[in-house]
Amino acid sequence: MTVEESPSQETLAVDGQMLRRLVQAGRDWLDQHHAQVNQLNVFPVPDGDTGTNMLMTMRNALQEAGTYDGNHVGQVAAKIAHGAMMGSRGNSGTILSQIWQGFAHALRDHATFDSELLARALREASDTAYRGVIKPVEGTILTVAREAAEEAEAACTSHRDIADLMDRIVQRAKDALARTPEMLPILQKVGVVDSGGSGLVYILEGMAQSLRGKQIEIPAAAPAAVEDLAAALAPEDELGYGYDVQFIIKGRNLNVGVIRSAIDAMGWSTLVVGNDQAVKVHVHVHDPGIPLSYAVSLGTLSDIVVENMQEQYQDYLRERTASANPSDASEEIVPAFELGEDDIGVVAVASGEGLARVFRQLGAAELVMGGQTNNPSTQEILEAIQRVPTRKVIVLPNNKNIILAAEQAARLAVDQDVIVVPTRSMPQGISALLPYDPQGDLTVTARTMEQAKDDVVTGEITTATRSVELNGVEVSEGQLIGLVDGALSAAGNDLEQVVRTVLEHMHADEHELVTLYYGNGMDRAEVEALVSALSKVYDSLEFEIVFGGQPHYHLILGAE
Amino acid sequence: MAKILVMTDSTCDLPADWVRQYDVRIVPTYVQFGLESLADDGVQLTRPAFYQRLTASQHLPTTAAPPLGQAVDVLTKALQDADHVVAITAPALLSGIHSIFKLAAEQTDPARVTVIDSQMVSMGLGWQVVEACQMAQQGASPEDIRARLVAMQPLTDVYAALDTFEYLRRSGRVGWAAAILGGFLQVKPLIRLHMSVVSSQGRVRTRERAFEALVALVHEVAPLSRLAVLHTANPQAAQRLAQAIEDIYPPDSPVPIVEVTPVIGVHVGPNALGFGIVRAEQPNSTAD
Repeated sequence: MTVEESPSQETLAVDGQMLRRLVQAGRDWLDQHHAQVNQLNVFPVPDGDTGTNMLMTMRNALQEAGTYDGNHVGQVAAKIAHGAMMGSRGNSGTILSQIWQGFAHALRDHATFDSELLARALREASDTAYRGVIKPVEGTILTVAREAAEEAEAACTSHRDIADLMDRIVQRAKDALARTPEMLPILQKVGVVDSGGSGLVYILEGMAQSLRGKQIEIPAAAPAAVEDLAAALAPEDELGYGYDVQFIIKGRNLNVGVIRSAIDAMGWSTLVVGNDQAVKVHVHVHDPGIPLSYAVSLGTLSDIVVENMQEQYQDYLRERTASANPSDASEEIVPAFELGEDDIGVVAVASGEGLARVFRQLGAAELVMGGQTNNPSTQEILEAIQRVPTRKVIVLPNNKNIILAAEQAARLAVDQDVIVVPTRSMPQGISALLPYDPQGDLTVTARTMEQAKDDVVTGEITTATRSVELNGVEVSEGQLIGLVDGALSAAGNDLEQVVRTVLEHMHADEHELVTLYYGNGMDRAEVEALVSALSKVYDSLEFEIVFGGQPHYHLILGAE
Repeated sequence: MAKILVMTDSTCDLPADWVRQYDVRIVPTYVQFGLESLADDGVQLTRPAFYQRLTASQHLPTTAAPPLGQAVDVLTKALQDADHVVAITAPALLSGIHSIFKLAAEQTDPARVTVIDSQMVSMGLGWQVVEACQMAQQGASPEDIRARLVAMQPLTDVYAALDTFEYLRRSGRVGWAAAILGGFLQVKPLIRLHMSVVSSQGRVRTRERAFEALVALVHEVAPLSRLAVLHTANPQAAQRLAQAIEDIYPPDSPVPIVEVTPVIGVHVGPNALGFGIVRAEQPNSTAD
């Protein structure tokens, strides 16, 4: 080996073979952490592939370095730079390849490098990276590269030992990385440091460790890349992934909303669903004792599952992917639109918490809870209208008995222009909300929404509260009854039979999609079984199951 | 007459016979399933195989701009074969391809390369490539071509009806779509790409209504000078859409039916339907 080594194991110069080893260590350290780097990826595009792109760039760089077995550091660096350029992927990979380009250019005529030349090479690496970007943004990999260079320049004369100098550089790069959220607001907002910067820190750190003689071991089964941004935002901090805790609380008068916010404050990935007698909780926490002691104060617990997520992480990812599909996932909903004063805001009446979430998802600014058996008052609707931060408001009463109160509230809201679109059912309200355009003209938008409400036929399944004969249908108290657009159409004791009669009256076979909003009294599995039976009869019809959470109505159906 | 070649990236969706006819130089973009990186060159990644895999895959694949070295290679070759290269790219606002083409130009012969941001993808970009090729054949200068494309861009749109919001939401490339959390209710968004910006054009719940909405939209923006029907793994519906809008076919331009590149497919998902158009210039029109 031609590297000068003093008796105290100082590294005063790095030759080609050593550079190859260092870069290999940098790649390996990045390889071990690329999934974490992917998780941080929110800028410029949050698609969770920064770590992957940087790793592929590094792999290609090393592969190319392997085609030259000489010891000239300038030639090895040139190979690395060429390989990085040919293998670079994505923004971060491109910038990384520019870093190697500048680095190699500074070393091109040198057989080895010392501290001072390393500083010059890092400076040129940083300058080349900045030049390669049309609009350089601070708080990114560029900042980390630049501050690493600045540190090297400041410390190279006092740190002849390259291992010492690299330690300083890594420390400074980490400091710079930690400050990226102060420079780039999106990072602050999401609560992460920059992903590309983090990838560069891993590369430098791997190189520094190699200089200290540490071997970087590649685990036999490298962790799979994480590609799910939603899951990726779960905090994997110094405490690790924590525990996945699930249980069911059984009790009386349980308040799902209150439980959800309490549980949510204890951890992340919260899922709380249920009714006033049973609530299912799913949460990720560092200390499983906290949610369990809280829950035991509310009722009796059953079906308790506590899993260590380090082991379960892959399963967890699969579960999250599944829960991205329409389901009972109870995440807080970001309103679909940010409304300005001159926009149109929508107030919708919702008869259950699931329906409320659907209306929120589709852009309703304010909700009034209520429905068939608990009509909201004019006052409640008026207050909701006044809470909307816009001058123009559209109200969706979503029940024929609420239309009048809504119109009254509209007249009383003297400071705002209010139009009531007279929707008579929850599915009509949802259908009306689809073409809602907050920036549209109030009258035109209201007319479009009014037309859209008739795109859907509504069916409802509930329990008869008294015996009656109506529309030729005979009903005894306690039986299931089915209504189509408000008219009694079916009665019986068998749910599937009643639903089938209702679907016939809805002319379901002439439609494409039937959405089933299931109420508080039913669970999803029951509805799934029902749908699988119905699918055999209606083979060209699509069914979608949505948690409605409405009281009294086992099912609300919308056919369109 | 100086010879001009046109270079672009694989998001242009230009039908293969036109690529041959005009000798367009195409740099592939990449789709990545985890650490497996596949070039969108019709060899490593075919469209039917991709859409099948997209539906089956648990995690969304990601997309990546081509390596700079690859762009440099394609450009170097084109500069050997022509006096000047006009390089037209996907929107700089949505992709890194534009910066890579610019870097490639700087590393070769900047004076002989004109890099233009098309502000478009798919046939919105493809029609600009066709225009540039036709102008080059007629002896236009690179500056004439740039001026023409810049004038054409405000008239160029891609409209699409997506089968689900999920892919667009999870791709992270469209701010307003990313803000919408996992759907409680499936909706099919209608979207428009215009001047690098993806905007919402409405939402429907059934394929039939999505189809009707698209037909209505294209009639609203007619007359057209260019029209291509686009789809992702949805050839029959694309045929039907093409038939439903026969009355507004542009008079002097073919109407290709194009299966959209996987690189865009990752962001919009399968079973999408749409069109890439250039509106006819109307004297004294106030339409944007």
